[in-house]
Amino acid sequence: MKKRSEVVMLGLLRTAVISASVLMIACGGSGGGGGGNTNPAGSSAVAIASSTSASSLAPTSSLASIASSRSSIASSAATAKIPTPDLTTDPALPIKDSPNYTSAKEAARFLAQTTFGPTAKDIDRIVRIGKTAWLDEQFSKPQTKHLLLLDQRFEQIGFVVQPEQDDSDEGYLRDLQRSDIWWEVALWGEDQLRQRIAYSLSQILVISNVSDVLYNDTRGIANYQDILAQHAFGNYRDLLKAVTLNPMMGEYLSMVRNEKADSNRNIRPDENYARELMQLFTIGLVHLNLDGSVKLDAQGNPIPTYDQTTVKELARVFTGWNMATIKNWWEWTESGASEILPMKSFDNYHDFNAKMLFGDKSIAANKTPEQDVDAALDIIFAHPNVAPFISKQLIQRLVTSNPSPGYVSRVATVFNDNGAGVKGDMKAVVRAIVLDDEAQNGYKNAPQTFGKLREPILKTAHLWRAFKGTGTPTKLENSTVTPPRLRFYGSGRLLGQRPYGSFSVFNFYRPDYQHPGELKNTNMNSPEFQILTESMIMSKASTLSNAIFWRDTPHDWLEPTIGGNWDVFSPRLHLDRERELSKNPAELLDHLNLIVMAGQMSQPMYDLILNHLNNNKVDPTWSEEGQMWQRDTLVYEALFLVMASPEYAVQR
Amino acid sequence: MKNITHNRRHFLKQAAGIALGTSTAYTTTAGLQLANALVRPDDSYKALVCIFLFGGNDAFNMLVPLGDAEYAAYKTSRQTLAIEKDTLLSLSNQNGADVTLGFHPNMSHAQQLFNSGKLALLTNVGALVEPVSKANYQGNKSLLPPQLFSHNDQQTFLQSLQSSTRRNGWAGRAADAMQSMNINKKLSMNISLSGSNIWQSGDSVVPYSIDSAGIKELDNFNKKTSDARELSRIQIYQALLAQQQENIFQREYARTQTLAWDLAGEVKTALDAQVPLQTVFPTGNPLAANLKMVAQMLSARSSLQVTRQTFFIGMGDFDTHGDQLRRHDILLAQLSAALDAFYKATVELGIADQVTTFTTSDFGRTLTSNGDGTDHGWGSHQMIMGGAVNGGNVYGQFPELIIGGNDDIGEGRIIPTTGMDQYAATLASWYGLPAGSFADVFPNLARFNDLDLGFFKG
Repeated sequence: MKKRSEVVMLGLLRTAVISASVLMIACGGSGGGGGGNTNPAGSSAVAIASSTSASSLAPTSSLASIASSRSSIASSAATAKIPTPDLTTDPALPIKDSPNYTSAKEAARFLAQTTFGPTAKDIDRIVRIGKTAWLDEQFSKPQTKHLLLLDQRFEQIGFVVQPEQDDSDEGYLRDLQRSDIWWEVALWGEDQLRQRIAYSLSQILVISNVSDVLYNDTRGIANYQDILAQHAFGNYRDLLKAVTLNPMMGEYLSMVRNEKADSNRNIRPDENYARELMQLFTIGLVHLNLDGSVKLDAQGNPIPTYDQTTVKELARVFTGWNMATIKNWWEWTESGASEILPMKSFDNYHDFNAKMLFGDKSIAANKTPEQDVDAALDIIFAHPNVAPFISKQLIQRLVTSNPSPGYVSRVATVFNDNGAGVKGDMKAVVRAIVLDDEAQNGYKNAPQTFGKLREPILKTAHLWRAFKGTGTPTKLENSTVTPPRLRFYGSGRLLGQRPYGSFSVFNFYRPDYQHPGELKNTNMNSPEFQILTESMIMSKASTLSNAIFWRDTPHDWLEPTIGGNWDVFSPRLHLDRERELSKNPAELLDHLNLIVMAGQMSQPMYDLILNHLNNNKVDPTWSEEGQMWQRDTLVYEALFLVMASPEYAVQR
Repeated sequence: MKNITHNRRHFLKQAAGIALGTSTAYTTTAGLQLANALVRPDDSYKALVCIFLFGGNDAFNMLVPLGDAEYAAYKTSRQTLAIEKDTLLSLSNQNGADVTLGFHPNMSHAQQLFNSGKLALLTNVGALVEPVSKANYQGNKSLLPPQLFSHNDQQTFLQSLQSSTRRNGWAGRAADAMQSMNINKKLSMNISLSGSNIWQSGDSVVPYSIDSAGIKELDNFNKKTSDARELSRIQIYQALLAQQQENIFQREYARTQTLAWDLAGEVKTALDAQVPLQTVFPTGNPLAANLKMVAQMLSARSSLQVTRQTFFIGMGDFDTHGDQLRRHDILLAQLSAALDAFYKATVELGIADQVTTFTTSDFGRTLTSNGDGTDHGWGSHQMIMGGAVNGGNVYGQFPELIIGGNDDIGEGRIIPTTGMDQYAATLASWYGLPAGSFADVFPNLARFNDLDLGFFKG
């Protein structure tokens, strides 16, 4: 898709070039001062083909019917609301020591595990209907489709939804739109649980456009997100097939255009997808027990799950697939539909000989390419490692970095059988994870080790959900001013994490990463610490302070029109409730404790911050404007101190 | 192509006449180094800069044999991925004699560095626990690094040299032993431009991460402010970070934030005090941006009160399973140009002899093609650059590039003939690792014969 030499490394180049902070910074309430970013759009290169939406892929249906699907925006089955910020007044939450306070705290904890962050409205909802009913409600919400929204946005800003050819000037701007949509869905989508699971899956079944392999496959990536979200409530085996035949994964792990061996040309099948499918997406490197622990042989050594022979055999399975929009194998396509449609098979390039996986699992000769894929996925999916391998990683993404063996075992058991004899039922797995006793009470039973470092994306989303961040209009080169956008594409350089922007297929961090020092010395997994470097923790703290201080004032510089190619602009917050509570600092802190920290703030931390707030109460002898400054500063300080604290840093 | 290693010195033979009274070979090597350290002038600063080529660099296209028979074998193995012979950049050693290898056409800077004696090549080095023969490999008789051909496992092995526990890296263990050399006790001896890595993590030493964009302070929490309100909230945040935490993750977060905030001020002050570098670094080249930041840190070495430092830089996207020719061309051009600028910067700083830069990578790649790319291999070639390097020479053994040949375990996955322990120990020996630490830092070293590969000037 991006064979042009000028595209190469652009993503990295851009990262290096855009180094100045573009967050609005203002001091002392004096107003003014938007950080100026002059993004070098002139150097951007290559857009990519687009097609009309075909975002809903049913992998169990026949490929022919999938490949012919060409649903337009209007005809899409999606009925989800277009995500928009909800600025309506919040319900009053239970105050400290009131009868419902404990259930409100539990609700806030639960929402940190199941959404992009608690809001007062969601806390109230769970207090009223309970966790189980809330889960059922979420399972039945219509899926918010990223591709559909993206195509609408292309139309709004005058981009051709499905250009005939790549446009080398539009590519970066197109990817900005996709990122905007990602954030808007994460913050304002009603299908919070589905999108949170999809986000977790995007960290297991990784694709990324940091390298130029997927540079500019904007619609393809949005569609990939939709596939993850669709199967987030489906079956993992179906997800595996959808991902295997997806052209973005095809490009990322080079299964597309993978040919059978040809001795005349001295070539053999590409092993990339075969290897990573086993190592990262299904079974891992070594045999596991149901509880996720490593099985050992008689000598006490781990037992590899596969050898190079199995990699080579499986590589032969994944031969003969190419873009759906071409007629001949050798054709190159820039058609946007090729980003969306499942890859199609070409018999002449497929290896029809029998294959043998894991030494004794055979796939007979002369199966069709698709039958081969199904047979191989069936064999791999039947491996006993899949349940503990995937279950444990999902627990780590949602609940805790070091689940007990019992917890992994309970979830893996449900993964293996949902109670109706079905393996891989994602709804059942999600239920088992978030309703498990350890998810609900681990912080009480193992306070020293339970929990996970909050990852930067979730922390930021949490701020903007709880305190009602709203977007900013952008001004395009043709002087068109767009409706508000949630622009946070630059999270990679500011926070070390951008959705679909990991460094490699090994994600932002490894599930078994142990941070040097006390964590490693006590054998604790701490995946998210892998990106908590000294330079990033400073950048994160600064980004957080710039996202809070003076992000909600009466001044008109809060929501200027930003340049259409800016990669970051911190949203305006809406802190009306917090300002109101600031008259009584204890009430403000109680409120933040509940909505931000699920009421888990320690007494020493509470006392320290409250003391500071009480010492800096609004002074009635100041001018009206001065009092406003004092009051706003108090709110910002309270919010920052809570959200930059070591206690909040950990989801417990 | 075997035995082109006429320049390889057998360090131990030279060292044999110096009696240091140590019992094992590796302690002898380092003991000599320690003896050297005692007579070194005051500015004894040394830095090791590791450029890790993430994904597995296809060094078989970075360095290609020029002899007719050898090139023909290469061409046969590589097919459409072969680099055309007449485009390869020929190498000559310090005496002007031809070397029978050529650099990739996009590596003219590296060619010039080699020809001027500032860059050496180490061929067919890789992850080994012990020397491996094809027969022993096929008979399952060799001790092997865990999970050959897997990216993260091989990255971890090359950085840690540990097969089972994999607790820490060789630069981390070296720093554990040497940290006391630096007057500055707060700043880690090991500095990463690419975030967490096991190479620089020791038992007590943890790498300090910086960013090519520079050192960041905390906005709205400026410690130098005269604003009383801002100062008061700084105090509160510091107090918050200093509170006792029950949860281990909370403790680690507080520790990291506290250290990062302290060091940001200290390092930024030191950097701001330096004369700006004149050397021009290529733009649009992330490796060059990182190396420029390293050069800036080097310029501040006295202010920071450090005598020994390692720097880690990752360069990504070398996993060229597909579209290899186009992608690899660009990567090698960036690598070559960045090396050149960095060497010039060390000359500008007057410390070219005190900074050694070296490459390593997950693994080499298959000699065979999958159509438009290559897959995960094993042995590979690496570059070592610096004024102390005995450049213009090729070390190690150059493998036969023949499918099914003596070095090939399948599809052109080439068994390394030099182990990473040997490569690393040679670097550490120059760096000044104490004699008694070699056995701990390089756990596999004792299984090999050549304990110093000789690519430093004597």
